[in-house]
Amino acid sequence: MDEQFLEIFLDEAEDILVRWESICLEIDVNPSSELFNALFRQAHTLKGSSKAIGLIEFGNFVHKIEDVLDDLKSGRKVWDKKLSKAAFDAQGLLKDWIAGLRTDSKYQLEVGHVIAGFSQGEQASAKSEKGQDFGGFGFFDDEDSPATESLPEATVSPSHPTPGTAEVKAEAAGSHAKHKVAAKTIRVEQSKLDGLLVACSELTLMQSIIVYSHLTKSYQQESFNNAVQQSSKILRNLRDQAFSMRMQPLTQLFQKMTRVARDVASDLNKEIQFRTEGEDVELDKSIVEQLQDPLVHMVRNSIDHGVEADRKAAGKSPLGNVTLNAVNFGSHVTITLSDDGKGMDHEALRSKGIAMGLISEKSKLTELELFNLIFLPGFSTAKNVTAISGRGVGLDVVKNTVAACNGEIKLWSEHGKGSTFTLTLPTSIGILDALVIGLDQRKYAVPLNEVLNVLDLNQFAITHETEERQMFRFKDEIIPVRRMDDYLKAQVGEPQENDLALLSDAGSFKMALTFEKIYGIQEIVISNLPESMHGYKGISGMTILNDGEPTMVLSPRQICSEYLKASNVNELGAVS
Amino acid sequence: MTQEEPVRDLVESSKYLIFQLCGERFGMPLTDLTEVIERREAKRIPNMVKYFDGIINLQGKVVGVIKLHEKLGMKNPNKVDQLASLIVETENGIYAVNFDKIDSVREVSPSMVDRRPAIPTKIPKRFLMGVAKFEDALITLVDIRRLLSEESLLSYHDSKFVS
Repeated sequence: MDEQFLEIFLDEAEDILVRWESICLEIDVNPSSELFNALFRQAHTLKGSSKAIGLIEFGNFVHKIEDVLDDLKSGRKVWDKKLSKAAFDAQGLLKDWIAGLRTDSKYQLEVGHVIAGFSQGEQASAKSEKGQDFGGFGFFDDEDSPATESLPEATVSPSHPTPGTAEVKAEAAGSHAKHKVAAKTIRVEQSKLDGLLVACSELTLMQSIIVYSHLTKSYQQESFNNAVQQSSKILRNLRDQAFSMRMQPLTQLFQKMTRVARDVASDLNKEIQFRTEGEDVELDKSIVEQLQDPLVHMVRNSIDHGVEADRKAAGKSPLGNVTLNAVNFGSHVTITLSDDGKGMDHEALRSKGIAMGLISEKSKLTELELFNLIFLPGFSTAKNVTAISGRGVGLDVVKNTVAACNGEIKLWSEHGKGSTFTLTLPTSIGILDALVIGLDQRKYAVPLNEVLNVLDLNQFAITHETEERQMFRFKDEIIPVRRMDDYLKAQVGEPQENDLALLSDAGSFKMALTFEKIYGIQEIVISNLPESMHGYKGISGMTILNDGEPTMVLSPRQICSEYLKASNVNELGAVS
Repeated sequence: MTQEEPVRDLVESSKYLIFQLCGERFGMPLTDLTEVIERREAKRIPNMVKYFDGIINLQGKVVGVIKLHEKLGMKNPNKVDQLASLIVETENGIYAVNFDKIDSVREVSPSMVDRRPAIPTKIPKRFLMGVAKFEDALITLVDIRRLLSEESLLSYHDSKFVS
């Protein structure tokens, strides 16, 4: 096989499979011969290009699917639920196959009996025994198989071949994957690339003017000053353009969620109308990737626990509504997932919180604080843990993933009417504004989005409970004060009297961290900590300041939650 | 990486950088080396292991600095100034490794190397590639890359607020 073309083929195939899925989703709602034709064309292209680069087995498999689609197109076969499922499953299988090929060019899935199954699609009577053979596949027996088996995860996964799934030939694929990192490609609009080139040539011109001035020592000339000013302008422009290349619309992510919603709804026998809005909103590619798992979990949750099983009893129309929406607010994007289901039961939340020792019986919580409880580890009010949700991936994991993208998650819910999750995410990663502070003769950068306020403690009455425990009143809240250098255990010389403090928060808990001085605010580019420094709590990365000095980026939010952990106080301020 | 994993195989004859550290000579595969720079003053950071010197700015990248003699458990009796740093890229990030000075670059063939030297050495076995026998000297070959990708650099203590 020609490996040089393999990468190109794999990228193309992934695109085709995305379209495949979107056509299947449409057919599901409204089958028409036009759509069968569209699906047929996708299969045809995929077959052609796979055979062209020598993936004969792959091509043969797609060919069989194409045959069935041809029959559908011409009306020789009738579209039914089983075929719909088969078309989705085939897509899932091909996706796994492609993923396998990414790590091992000889990768193959054993699909012999699957092909046999597909072409007998309608002969459901033959299913029962055969269905067992590829039970994990759920090709035939979608009525009598347990819900788990027809979930997307249950399709063939190369790393865990379970009995009953198609046999995976290439065992090595999993272990190789670790060492051989697949080359990732990004598709970029040509106009964006052109803009980048223009900016580069402009910059080159400015650079040559600067070099000339340097050689002739003619720094006073206007041309030199102009060039310096111009080049910083071009550079900013260049930077914006370069960052915009990493931006990706949410179209694919939302399509995936539509698919998840469809699968979950059919497994649970619920009637769901799943709507998406704002697919063209763009986010950084890495954020889009990281969002996928949390969103899958949330969509499942909404349909499983949010939307009632018996909606008539609740006096609602049988069709449940779940809406996924994205809006761009410039520096950040919000994604909301709302359902018109049963909502959160305040009392159930409260008693669960008390039972878990998270809140005391007397504590008065605002609604928002009450809802925040569900993001704590181990907290789930679901009475029945089903296969669909509540399998260990809690909302705390969702919250952590979102926090890792520098985002936030909130819940608002009305009992009996529905729930809405709101995710707030930064539009792009990389550059952010930071406060540069001085602490024990060292400089540190602190991301501004983690700083609520910078205070001069001289203007407040500080209560000294003990030497270590200090606090003050700020806007009707009691705020504990701690020394930042205490946390870092970073004292070099004599402890200084630090009057400045920055206010940060973890959940609804706020605290002030003192430091020595402010150097200013500047834009920084954060680089990740190397693996050998992972687990350095309170440090989110490293950066280089505008004077060329390398330094650490502090995360006051993390420091706050460390403080909470150390003092056995949870995010709601109650002692557990 | 685990300790049981065998040390790297020396299959072909290849070039080694021979450098001095605390008056002793060591060798490392030249292919592991990105560049050699003049030693820079590192910015210290709190809560790190003793052999971590701090961080420097290497062409816009933040790079950790390792005190090799400290890591290998050597004393620095002569107070010889360490003049240079080896820049080594690992899966774990880029590191600068401080040493005294460069000695030479030499070709080492597998036949010259005693993989399991009888001479006692302070260097942990897993970093030891062997001892190369030259006409004029015996030189210890160290797997710097392995040494750098091994463990956490944090000297971490939890719940720092509780004193």
